[in-house]
Amino acid sequence: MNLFNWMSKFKKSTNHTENPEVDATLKDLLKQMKQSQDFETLESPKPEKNLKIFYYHSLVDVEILHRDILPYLKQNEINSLIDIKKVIPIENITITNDLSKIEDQLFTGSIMIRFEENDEVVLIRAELKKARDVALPEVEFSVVGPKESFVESLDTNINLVRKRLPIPELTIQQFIVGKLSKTKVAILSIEGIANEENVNTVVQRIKEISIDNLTDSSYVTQLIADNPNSPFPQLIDTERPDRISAVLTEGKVAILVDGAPHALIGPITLLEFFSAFEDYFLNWIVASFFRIIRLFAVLFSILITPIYVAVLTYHYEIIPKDVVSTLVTSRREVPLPPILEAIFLELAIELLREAGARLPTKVGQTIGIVGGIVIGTASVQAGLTSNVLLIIVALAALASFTTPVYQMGNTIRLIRFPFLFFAHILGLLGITICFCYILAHLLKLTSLGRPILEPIYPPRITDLKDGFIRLPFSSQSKRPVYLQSEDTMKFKEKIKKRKPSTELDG
Amino acid sequence: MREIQRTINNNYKISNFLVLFLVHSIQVGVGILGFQQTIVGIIGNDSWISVILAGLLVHIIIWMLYKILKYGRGDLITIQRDIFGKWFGGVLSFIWLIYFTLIGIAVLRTYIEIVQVWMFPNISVTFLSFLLLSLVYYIVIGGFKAVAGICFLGMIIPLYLILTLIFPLNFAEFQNILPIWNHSLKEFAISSKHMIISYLGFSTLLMYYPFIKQPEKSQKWAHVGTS
Repeated sequence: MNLFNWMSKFKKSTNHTENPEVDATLKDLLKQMKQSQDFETLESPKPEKNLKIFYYHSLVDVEILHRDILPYLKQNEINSLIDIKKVIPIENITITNDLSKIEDQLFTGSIMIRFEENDEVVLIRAELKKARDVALPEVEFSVVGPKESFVESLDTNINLVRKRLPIPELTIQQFIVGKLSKTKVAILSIEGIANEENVNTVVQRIKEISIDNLTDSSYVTQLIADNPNSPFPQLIDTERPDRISAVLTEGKVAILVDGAPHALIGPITLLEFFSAFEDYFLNWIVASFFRIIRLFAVLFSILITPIYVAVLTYHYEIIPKDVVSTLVTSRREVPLPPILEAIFLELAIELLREAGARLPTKVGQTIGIVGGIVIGTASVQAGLTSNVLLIIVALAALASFTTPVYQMGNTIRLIRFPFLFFAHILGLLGITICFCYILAHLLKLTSLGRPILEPIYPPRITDLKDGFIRLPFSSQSKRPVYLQSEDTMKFKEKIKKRKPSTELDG
Repeated sequence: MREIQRTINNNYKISNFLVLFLVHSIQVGVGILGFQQTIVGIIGNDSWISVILAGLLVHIIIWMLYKILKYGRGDLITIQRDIFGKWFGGVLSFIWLIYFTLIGIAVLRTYIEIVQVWMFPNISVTFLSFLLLSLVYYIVIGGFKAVAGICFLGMIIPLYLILTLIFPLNFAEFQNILPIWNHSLKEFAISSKHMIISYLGFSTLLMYYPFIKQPEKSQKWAHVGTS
């Protein structure tokens, strides 16, 4: 029903925008606008002047109107629009007779003042700024490091980034995308560091977007992806302004969307999906260790259940002698073949996750506990699954939560199932074949035209410094090769090494 | 047409040193599993000499291939058309085509046989070859870069398998290689011939030569890949 309503609304509004001659004159436009209850028309404070004030009270800060506009109109002698511009102490005032501009400004929070029956109007900016306060990052929370995150307002978001990069080279190009939503999309890059080609690719793809309603940055991810049919995300989304400023200095391009608390980064590599931004706040040894753990967790999460299925279906001979008895005891009561057992448990976990994600936080937690403990234990006692598999699946689910980027976590959730399927039909050989398929797919995948599997393939040893491990900052003086940055050096390498303190000897 | 084959967009070309992996991955194929038995059967304890001998021969052939390619400026098909004309050159290219197809089929069949012997004795050849060929198709439509990438990863990922060769060394009796050179020259020739079979495939170099960024410099990598 909702959808139907929405559709019919959409139909009506397209009709209206497709026929510009309907609102060809200002009069018609005003007539159309007056149909809305929130469109206000004020008569002039001095009745002899024929001044009229128009605005949407839902979009305009009424306090500005009362404090900065109305008193001045009353006190001063107003004979022309230029007089208005002179007396009102607001810097953003335009005089125009351009209809599209008038419409635009009225809808973005301007007050229009007009002499009776005159086509020229004055537009005064008095936007009502209602945005959420900058809050803690929720998805990418880190214990150390800055704790700001983006909000739904583009201006605030750009402010958060600009504060961190106070240089004139930081360029912001804005576009309006969406036939109905007129969403502002900003492309951020640093001139002289970001590769022109990358920036142009993004600009061109943003311009080519054709959509009616651009709600969130994730729409942009899907609309400008190199291969929209790939399960793998090809742009990273982040809610951390510090991460955006950091990747901008590397030479990447960032995309901010008005109304979206997540920014997009590109081009990226596959390994970056597994590097949390917190890695840069920790000592490099610790950070590298965590990164390796995370990569291992991903492989584990994808492969362990399929390996269980493959081994128990076809390759009993590779089970170590000591483990056999444990496996046999736990599987003795289970009437199902390994594949059904695994699918049953994997689906149960997926159900729990979906249920947990759709429910309010407090209920969601209960669902997690109820599902995890009660269903798990009950299904083992009922003889539907074996203990060992329960542990394996739970561990795999746990491991899949370690991916720092949520979109990638979803992909990992998904690609487990083809692996399971292949493991059932061909055992370990099937897993290998499926792995090859995924590898071949990744080899072909690009992010804004750059290979996503870099630095593994094409092999670039210098980029490995921030790949599987993160070497100290002092050894990372070069920008990543795959970005083809115009300025390859981040900073001058220091030759001098700090000598250990000799105070203790003295 | 010929000019098109000679000038390939730089975006499709690969780095020089990837030739190492291309040459290497086509040589280390299924042959590696069986060559020991064949040649030991012929010359016993001197087989290591014929392994090295065959390797040296391959080096010489690769050197010759590079000579041809350097002067021919192009891949095998263009060169043959330049030298032998449209028809005869075409026939020769067709023979090469059949040769490559046969190599492909032989490798595929041997692979499936290994699977049949070791893992699934009852698996249908059609099913498995369909699965593998669709994988190959999927890689090949990704362009030559994807092929080179698979060769590269196909060598890097199983690199740790080399460690498995350490365990048999515990049981090695190094005195067994003595006495050296106690077989006739003919036996060496025959065993080297058998050895070269498992080295075969590097002639694909003739086809992907134009895809290399700086082909002249890639020769050393081809030699490294062989050894």
